[in-house]
Amino acid sequence: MQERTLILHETLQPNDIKAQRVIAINEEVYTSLVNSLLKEDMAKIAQPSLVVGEPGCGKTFLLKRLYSAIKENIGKSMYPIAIEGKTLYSTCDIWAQCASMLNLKDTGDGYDAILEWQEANSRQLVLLIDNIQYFFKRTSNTEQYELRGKLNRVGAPVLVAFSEKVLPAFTEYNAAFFDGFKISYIKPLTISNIKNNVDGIYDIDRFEKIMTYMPKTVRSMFLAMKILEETSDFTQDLVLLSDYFYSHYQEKFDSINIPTQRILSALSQSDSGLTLSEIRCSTGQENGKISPYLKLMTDQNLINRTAKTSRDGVYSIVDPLFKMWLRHNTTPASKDSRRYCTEQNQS
Amino acid sequence: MCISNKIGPPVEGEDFYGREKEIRKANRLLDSNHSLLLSAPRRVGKSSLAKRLINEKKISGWKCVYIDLEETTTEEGFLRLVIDAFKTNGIWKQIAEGMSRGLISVLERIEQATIGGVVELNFRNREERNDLYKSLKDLIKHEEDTFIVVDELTLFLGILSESENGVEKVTFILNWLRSLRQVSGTNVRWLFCGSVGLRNFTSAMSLGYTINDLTEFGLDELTREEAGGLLTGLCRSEGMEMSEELINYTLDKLLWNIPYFIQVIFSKLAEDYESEITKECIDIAYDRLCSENYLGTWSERLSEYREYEVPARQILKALSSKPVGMEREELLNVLMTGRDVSKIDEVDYVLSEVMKMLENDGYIIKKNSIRAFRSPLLRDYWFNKFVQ
Repeated sequence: MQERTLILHETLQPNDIKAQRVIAINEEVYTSLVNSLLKEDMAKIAQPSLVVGEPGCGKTFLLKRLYSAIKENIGKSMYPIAIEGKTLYSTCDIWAQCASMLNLKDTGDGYDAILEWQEANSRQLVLLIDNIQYFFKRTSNTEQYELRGKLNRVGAPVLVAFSEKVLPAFTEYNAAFFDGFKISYIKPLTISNIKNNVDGIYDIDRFEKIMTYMPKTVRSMFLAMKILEETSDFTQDLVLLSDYFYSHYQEKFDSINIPTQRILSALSQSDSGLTLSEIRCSTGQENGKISPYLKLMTDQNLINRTAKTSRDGVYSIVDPLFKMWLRHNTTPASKDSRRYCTEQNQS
Repeated sequence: MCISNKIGPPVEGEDFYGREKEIRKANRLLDSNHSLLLSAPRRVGKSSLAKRLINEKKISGWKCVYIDLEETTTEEGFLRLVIDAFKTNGIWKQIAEGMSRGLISVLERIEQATIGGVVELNFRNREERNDLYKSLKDLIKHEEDTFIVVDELTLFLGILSESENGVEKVTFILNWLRSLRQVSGTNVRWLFCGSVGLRNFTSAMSLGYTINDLTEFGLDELTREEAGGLLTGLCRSEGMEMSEELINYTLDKLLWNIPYFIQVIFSKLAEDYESEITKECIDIAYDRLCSENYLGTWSERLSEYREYEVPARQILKALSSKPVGMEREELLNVLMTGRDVSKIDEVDYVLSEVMKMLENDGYIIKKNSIRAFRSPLLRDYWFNKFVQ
């Protein structure tokens, strides 16, 4: 699986001019969720839903749209509560935050008070939990069973959760939420998605080339649009793109150890990747000093290994943008190491 | 009738479909004073069936209680759930003349709990705890027809057994539950359900005797007619049409027709529905399910089996090639292939261990003497990835 570059941008507001494009792209998932909510009946156990999509694909924006829709259109029978998963450390936190948002008296874990509120107001809560992966990573299976038990009661709040990944907590047989969600996926943008949105306005060839360096998300699409508005040719596009992420990759580069930096620098100079012996030549390092780092880097998903045979394989950097950054910002292999390489080959 | 398509949670009311044979059998057993033990793999529909039985018994005038133990991890939590459920559903006796002072005191404490107070459950010593359990037992109206469903008992006991003095607490609770069932002339019937086998759990703790009065009750796939009926009902609810041929095509593809798999494939069909369903639509929906279920993680997780990873993979590979499943003997032959005959006992032991692990982790199920993949999606993924 390819490692993705995280692009840290503010989530769009529903009234943002670009929001229309997000709506067009994620409309299917949005409609499916709204339809599912419209079918809810407080006399039955609610259907928990999970939206999965990589960072920047529009999950949080979708959550905000749902929040508005529930408040405005489905408001007579439902009431939205938006919770950020990063603030959750236990199941109790979910009920406590709900109770607090509803200004309910602090009694017990808040769950019973929430049910009473629902009954008094004839409305069912819809818990819109963003980044729920934090909750699932921080809590035990036992605690997750507790959440499931409460959600599986007739008339309990409806959970609509958002996660950037499918976690073991959703797929392991012994996990509380194993096969417990109706999952919708926000898939990577396709070329036709992009063309529908930018064709005729931007140079589509340059657009596509910029997108090859980034995850195929709406957020990347907006960034590519911004770059195209500021530059006039592809070389400048890449300079600007690299510039946007300069500090992010600088930090990433500085946080890794020196042998890894050396290997990454060498790999960044090659278009098609390097074999172990080529890496040895480029870095001037002995075999035994490279292999453990290659293994570690593969585990960390910094690089991947495409095996041509069982004995040999080609290593390349996973993130294309990081590779470009490395190529532009790290020193190529030294003359000394090249001489070492030649000597090794001769011997 | 309008069936709403629920994926994951238990279904109730008109969303529950089929299981006529099982319901008849359960009713017959309950009516003849049997208490039941329902063990089945996850997503087969245990909780939904239990809730359906509760509805049936309520209609027949029985008092009914559903206690879901997945919400608690402690003995206090267990007692609170039991007390609350019994109180809410009128299982307790009323204070009456001739009732012992101890019972009156317990009833008063329970009464307090319902008007905002909390039942004090901190026992100063073992005797106090035993007294409370005994009082609770005496408070139950054993003469009335009553049906008590305890869901996820094994899950709760498993967690409890790992707490301080856990084994002692588990032993006590199992014995207490047994004593409730053994009250002379009691009309209270119990149903214990869970995906983790209570039988295996208790026998591993040498507590098998505490549940040996329970009648085993199995739950498998829907009958062909019921599975077809469910799919037709779901289609009707969404204004979709599906011919009998296509219904059969879908069910053949799933092979193991439990409600969950029918619900998930229907969900995909409904998402893409335009004006008609074709075989191609069904194939696409099925392939989408396979691609969206992160089935690769099942293969990755086998690395945790360590020395058993290789035999586990051999077994799964063989089973993926034979959708209807294989007998133990056949699987033993798979593991023995190329091995010295003198290793038979060793291989036989490995087979037992691996099958147990694969069953516990949801890879395979055991139907009578046959082992097969639990999920048709996983089986097809395995076949395409590791065999074809």
